[in-house]
Amino acid sequence: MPHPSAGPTGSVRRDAAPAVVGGAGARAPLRPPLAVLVGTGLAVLVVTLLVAVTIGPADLAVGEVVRSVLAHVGLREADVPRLHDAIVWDLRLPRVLTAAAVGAGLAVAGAVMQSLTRNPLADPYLLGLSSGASLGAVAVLVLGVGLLLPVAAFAGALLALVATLALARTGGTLTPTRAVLAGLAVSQLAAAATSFVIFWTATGDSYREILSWLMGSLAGATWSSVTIAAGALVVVGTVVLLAAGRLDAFAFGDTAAAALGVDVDRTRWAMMTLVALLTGAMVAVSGAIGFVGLVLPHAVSVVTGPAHRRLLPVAGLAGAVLLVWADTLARTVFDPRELPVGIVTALIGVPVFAVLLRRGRGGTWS
Amino acid sequence: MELSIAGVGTRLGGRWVVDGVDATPPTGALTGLLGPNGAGKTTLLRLVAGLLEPQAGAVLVSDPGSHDPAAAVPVHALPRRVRARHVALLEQSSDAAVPLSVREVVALGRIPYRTLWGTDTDPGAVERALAAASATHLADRAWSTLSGGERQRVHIARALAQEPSLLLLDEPTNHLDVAAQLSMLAFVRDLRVTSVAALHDLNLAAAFCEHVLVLSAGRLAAAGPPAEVLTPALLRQVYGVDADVLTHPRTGRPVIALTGRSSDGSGPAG
Repeated sequence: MPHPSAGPTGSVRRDAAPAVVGGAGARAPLRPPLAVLVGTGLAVLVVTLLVAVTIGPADLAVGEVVRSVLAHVGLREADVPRLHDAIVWDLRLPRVLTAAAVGAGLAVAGAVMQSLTRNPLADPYLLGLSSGASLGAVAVLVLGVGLLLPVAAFAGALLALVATLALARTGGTLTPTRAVLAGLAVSQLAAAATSFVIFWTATGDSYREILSWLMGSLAGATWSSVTIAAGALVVVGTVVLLAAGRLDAFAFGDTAAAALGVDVDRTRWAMMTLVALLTGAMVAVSGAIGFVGLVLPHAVSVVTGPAHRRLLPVAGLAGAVLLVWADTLARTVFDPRELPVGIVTALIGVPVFAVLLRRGRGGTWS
Repeated sequence: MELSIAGVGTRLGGRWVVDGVDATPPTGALTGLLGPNGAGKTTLLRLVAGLLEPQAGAVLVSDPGSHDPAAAVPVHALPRRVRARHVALLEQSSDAAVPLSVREVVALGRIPYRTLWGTDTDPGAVERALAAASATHLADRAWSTLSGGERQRVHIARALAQEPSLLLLDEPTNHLDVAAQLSMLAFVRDLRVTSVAALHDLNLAAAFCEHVLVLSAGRLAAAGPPAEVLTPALLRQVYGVDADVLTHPRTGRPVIALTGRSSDGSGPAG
């Protein structure tokens, strides 16, 4: 059996090679190596974390933050004043780390959803995951069993996902458009149910607490929030990264992916369930924070290109940095009052989205 | 790769869309898959690609894991990755707006060859596939800026990157101008890879295919060399058209001159 790539003569290949090199130099978009992107991203993230912890009503220096952290992990003597140490270790560090993990998780979840549904507007919200998680979380908040909140948020996200996919498959195949439309319906239903629960049961303080949580807030972050968010991120992030090639295969749709050896149904269900797990964990610790999952994957793919092995880690790092700064703004700009961080991400996200939309005109999104 | 379609059938919504098709397309040559709209061409291609499991019969291919050339396995029973290394399918041209460069599109064809870490086992394969499909000059263009003919050329390069020994094409000449249609089919024919192409244009099929299969309402109406199969009687029966079949003065291949819908009013079954 002649091999197709053995078909053309050797001279064709030799002739073609220089043209490729020349063409790549002249026209290829700037695509820095992955190691450079990840290295830069990690460096920016570390600096971001250290600086963000110093910002707030009590003035701290970066050196103090570093010494406090090193003391807590047992690498040096504790020599930071007790109050400052407590501010770093008990208040700000858990919050900043939670913001980083949530930002990374939302960006990764958004990127995966956009590929699986082949819809550039997909994010966890669009498929009803966040609304479902919110419903679960609000239900346990008003019942006064806050300890169950992560479990309830996750269960809500999973239920919403199942409802969305079931609705999208009714009387037809699961196409991206149907998935988005079904997600909208499920979102609306979950939001209505959430409103009903609040309207029926909430009073005064708990109302305000719930509202701030629905708009997204990291104010309640503790070390257990860090554990939940970072744990979900590490587990889901690793699996998703290993499946990066399979996500690439979806570019031309389900049949093309199947022809490239991907088990389309299993991959889609597994990935969507993982995204539900991730989203449930994120919503459990921070409420519903918009625009990070929608906008960041697009912005990042301008630099990384669409290959998921490059896109996913860089989007995660960018999401972490972005949300840490957005949360820092949210808690300091109107000090002592806090803005829900979801308002800040919307204020940043909408203009970025507008710019991307202009860039994409006539291209990707036409 | 040797291909044998043995009594293959499948139902969609209770109707047999492909019904008891028996055929053995010649190895290392281009076979045309003909038939009116709705005759089951696309479904048959998907069955041959192993993407659909037949509800009757089987599609048998040479076993890629065996040294015995006569060993055959059902294509849908091959492990997915193994199958993707041997069988490539070009879908009916989709103008999907994907945010990829041409080189990235062709690299998709290497997914079955990627390691767990996403690196290609043969880093030169993408450039070779681009060169083989004469698409090297397009490599850095954005997919969304390509013309229909250029897209089809890149799809071919993507399929070649899979290094297939069985190539399936669903209306590869759709949306192409005349010159591009000719060069597309000449290219596929000259690959000398076992290929099956669903085609609408009977004259293209007559000119480029060594063998044709004619489907009518899911059943095989005729199979064989174009000169034997494409007769006025068959065209009337399958397509419901009147035609004269001439012989090309230079190539000796059949040329179909259509004269109109058949006068007896008998239309195609579908």
